[in-house]
Amino acid sequence: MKLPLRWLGEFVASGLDAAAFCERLTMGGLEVEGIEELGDEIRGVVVGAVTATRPHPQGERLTLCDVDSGTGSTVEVVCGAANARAGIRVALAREGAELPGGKHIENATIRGVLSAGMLCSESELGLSDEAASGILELPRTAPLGADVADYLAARETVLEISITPNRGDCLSVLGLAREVALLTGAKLRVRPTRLQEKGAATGEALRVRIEDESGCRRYAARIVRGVKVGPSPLWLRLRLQAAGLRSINNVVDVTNYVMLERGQPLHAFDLRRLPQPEIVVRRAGSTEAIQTLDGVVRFLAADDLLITTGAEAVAIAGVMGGADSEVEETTTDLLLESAWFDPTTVRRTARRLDLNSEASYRFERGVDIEGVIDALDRAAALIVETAGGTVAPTAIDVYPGRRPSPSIVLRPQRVNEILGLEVSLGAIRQTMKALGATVTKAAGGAFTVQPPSFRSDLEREIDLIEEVARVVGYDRIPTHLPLRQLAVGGMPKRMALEREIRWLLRGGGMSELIGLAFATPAGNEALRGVNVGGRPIRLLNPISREESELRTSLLQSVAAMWRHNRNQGATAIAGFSIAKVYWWEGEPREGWRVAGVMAGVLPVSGLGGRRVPAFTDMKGVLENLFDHLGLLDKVSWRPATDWESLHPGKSASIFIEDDFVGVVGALHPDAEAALDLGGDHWLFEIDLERLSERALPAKQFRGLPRFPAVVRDLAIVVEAEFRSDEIVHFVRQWNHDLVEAVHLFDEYVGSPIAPGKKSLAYSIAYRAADRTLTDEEVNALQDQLVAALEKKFRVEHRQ
Amino acid sequence: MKDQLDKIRASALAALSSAASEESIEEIRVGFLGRKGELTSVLRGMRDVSPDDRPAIGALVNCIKDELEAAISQGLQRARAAERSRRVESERIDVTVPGRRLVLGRLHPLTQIMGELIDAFVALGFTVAEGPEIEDDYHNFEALNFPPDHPARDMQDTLFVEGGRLMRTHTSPVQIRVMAEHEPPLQVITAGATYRHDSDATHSPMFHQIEGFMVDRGINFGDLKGVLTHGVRRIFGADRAVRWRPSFFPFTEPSTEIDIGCFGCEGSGAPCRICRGSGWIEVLGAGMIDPNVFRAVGYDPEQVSGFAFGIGVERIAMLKYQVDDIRRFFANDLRFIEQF
Repeated sequence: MKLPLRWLGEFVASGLDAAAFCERLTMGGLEVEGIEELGDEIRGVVVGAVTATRPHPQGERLTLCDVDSGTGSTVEVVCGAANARAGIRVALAREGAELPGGKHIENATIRGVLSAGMLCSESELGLSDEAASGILELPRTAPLGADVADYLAARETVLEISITPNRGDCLSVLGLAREVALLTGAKLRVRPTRLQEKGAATGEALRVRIEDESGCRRYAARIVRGVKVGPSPLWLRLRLQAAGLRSINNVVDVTNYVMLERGQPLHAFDLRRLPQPEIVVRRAGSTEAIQTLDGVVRFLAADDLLITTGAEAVAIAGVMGGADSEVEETTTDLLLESAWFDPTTVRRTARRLDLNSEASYRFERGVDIEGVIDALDRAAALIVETAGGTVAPTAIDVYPGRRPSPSIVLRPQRVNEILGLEVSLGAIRQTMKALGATVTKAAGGAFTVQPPSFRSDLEREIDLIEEVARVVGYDRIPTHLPLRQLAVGGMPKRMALEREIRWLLRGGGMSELIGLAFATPAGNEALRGVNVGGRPIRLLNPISREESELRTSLLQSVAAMWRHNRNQGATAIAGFSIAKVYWWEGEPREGWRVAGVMAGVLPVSGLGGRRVPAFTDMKGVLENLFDHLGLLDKVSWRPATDWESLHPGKSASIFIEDDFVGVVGALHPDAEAALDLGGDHWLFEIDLERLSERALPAKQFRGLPRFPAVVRDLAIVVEAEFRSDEIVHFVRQWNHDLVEAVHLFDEYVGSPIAPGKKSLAYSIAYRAADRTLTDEEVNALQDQLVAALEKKFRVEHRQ
Repeated sequence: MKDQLDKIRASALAALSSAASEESIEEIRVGFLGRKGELTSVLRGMRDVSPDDRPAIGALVNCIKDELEAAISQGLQRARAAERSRRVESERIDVTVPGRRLVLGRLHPLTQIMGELIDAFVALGFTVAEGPEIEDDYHNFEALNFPPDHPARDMQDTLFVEGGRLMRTHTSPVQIRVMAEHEPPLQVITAGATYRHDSDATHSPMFHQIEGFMVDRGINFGDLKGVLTHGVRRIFGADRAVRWRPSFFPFTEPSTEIDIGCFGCEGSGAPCRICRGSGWIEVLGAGMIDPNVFRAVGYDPEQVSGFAFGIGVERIAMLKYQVDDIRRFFANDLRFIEQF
């Protein structure tokens, strides 16, 4: 809401300087978001009188004007405007003057004649948007030499105030003036409107009926006859401009002016263009349409509230008037409407038609039902002042929806309980009175408070408590930590685990990324998610038409990050994300996943050369993760040959015991093509919830071995397809008592190993719990093992 | 015999005096004192010495043996010291060569801030709760005192999904879910992704909030100020000025927005692109939980009271790290992430 301070000054004078004033408003809940100084760009423009004119010797359209600006002598100014003539008072921009848009005025020679500055049009002074129809003519009473911006009151300070949705009453100069009075203690002055009424009574020319009281609790109307529609006077245009509205004509401008001043939206109909002298307020019912002021034909819903005449709709109540009864230049007789329309009704219609206007904005937030007549009279008086005409006697005021103002019980001790303050009874009562409420004593030391009609947001005791806090000032409420029973803080296991995983992956060289949850249908198609069933979830109003679904795989975000960084020229891309995926399985489902990628080269620093990541680099990071979570013994890696989005020969499914928890591997070449990705890379996605169910099993000390281990290496030659962990599992089972550990430490392909074969070297640790194993014993064990392996796997033992 | 011993002694000492390395001294030791060493051989020849002379010769042999052992020990010390000096003189590496490491990844600035704030509140006894991101109108709006067709809904432009659901516009539905399931006293904090139909340099359709609430008998606005002052100062520094500005949220009353003194200009009035000259920066919204919210979850607002607060994580991160565009958090440019 834009608040011009001179306008505010017509209602209240706070006595505060600008900074203190803004501070008080802000700390009272009316946040001043900006301050605009209007007319500040006009400098050095003064009132001058054209004393004589003569044609420019070389230009038929140019006039030479002698202009007196009160300095005792005249200057000669070249002017191209048709209305430049002797006897008028004008805005003279002298040498050195400045005009809006940073225009700097200097004496200039125009077709051989030196012009001492220029005579300004309204648009040159920034007072009007429209192209100039001539120079600005000032009243004859304008004092010579006076600063034009001051004289026109074009210098104005405008505050931009953020009004919260509960404070519809603050969407007007009057409403803000009431707040200023409340917050500063200054006195509010509202001058009564004086109306001279003449001619046939309103009731004789017009009937008003409200058929739907829930939609319209009050409808008031006045008739103004004999107006002359035309441009508004400058003061009115300046006010509207300062408040951010465009000027239309004097009648429409007055309705807008009163709306800005009083908060009551008004509408002016051309009385003669109404088919019948009748106004009926009713719901639209069966299919109806209306052409609104903006020329668009609107199709109405049964619930829309209409202003109708006979069978015809002439306005959508509170939203927009109809084109057929619009005030035009030829209009002479007006029907002025001032009414109270139901906020919900107006809001539904405005939203459905996507027609948000200054009027609907105010009706949605509730206008003061008791202010309807004041605004109507104020508008009628201003129309007479600016457009002439006479006001018909006695306004029509149909008010079936009168309700008593609510009586709220306010308990002073409750105020202090909620706020943690010690506000006195007197101060509470005083605050309520300052709000405009009626306060009476109720039982048990409480008050009964009847808020003023313009504060429809005050309905409950808590609303009044907030008012006390606001007026006292939140800063004056003592700050302290709560005095209460100690509570034990903590976080769910999944979240604690998420933190651990974040640090572990970080240690694995991967940076954390956060991607938006949206995905394209093609993307969801291309990347199969882990433990996701059903189908993707569609967004009804997506931000971009392409990303119309929620991701089903977190690899979606990982892929986007990979692509982005590749396109930026990054060579080492290693990232992970921990976030949710979503799917529809009879109802919306969501689950936590962790996913990551290593692409390009390994993010390794130091000597030793750059290399592309191997599968074992990616797997190693995950093994550390499982190790930390106490799950490494339980994890198995099985070839993922039928995971559509992954390469069947280069990917693994990850199981914890028999529970499938995720995948790791390379993209299927088809997925690479679909996602515009490729090159050396490995990625993974793991179901974080499945993981956290099993993670961090309880630890128990097992004692230390009392006898030394004996370590033997074992090298075998197998088919290239052979899975190395089969040997590990076999050896462990083969002699559970004496084999302590088995691990693969070398894999070799090439001469002298035959083509199609590979050599695997394992290290086996033997240990007995009750004695030191002798070399002879271990040699015998190793021989037995080789024999068992040869039998089981037909491997060839390398000596 | 005695001459022979003197000779051995002299030659051993002579050899030792010219021996520089540990190895050569060891050789000398073996040569003289070893099992087949010269002195040892002499001792073996003692049976040829007359019994009368034996004590004297024996004493002499032991004396020479002690002397030689002492000399060897000294020689060894000398040699080892010389060896150490030699190593110090000769061994050189280039300490400016970079370390060999898998370069650590970086954590996203948003999770860093969320973690820091959550820890601050957990330390005050808050428990972390979580809730779904796909919500229904009841939990996201209605139970939070946003009536249908109320202008307050304009404050939160909603992303809708099929099945009459929506992407939560704030983390406040977690309040409803926790209170509906548990009885007070409660001290709960939650953090996570939230969504709105909005996208520009300061609005992302997905963003993050941290939300907390405390419900018990007798909780008042002063408690709210105490707890949040702690949280804000944890992030922005212990001396940071804080002010409490009345505001409006449907689910709290009285409601407040909390501003902190601008750390860009320190309120000096100088042109400042962080606070735009006001000297204050809005960092979070809060208030006393509205009685209608308590009624929606079956609490009696006459019996319990409480406060709730919400923090925009991106906003805090943008302020703290002076990030110019909210979209940078989600573009995931490694050159951006690596700065945190």
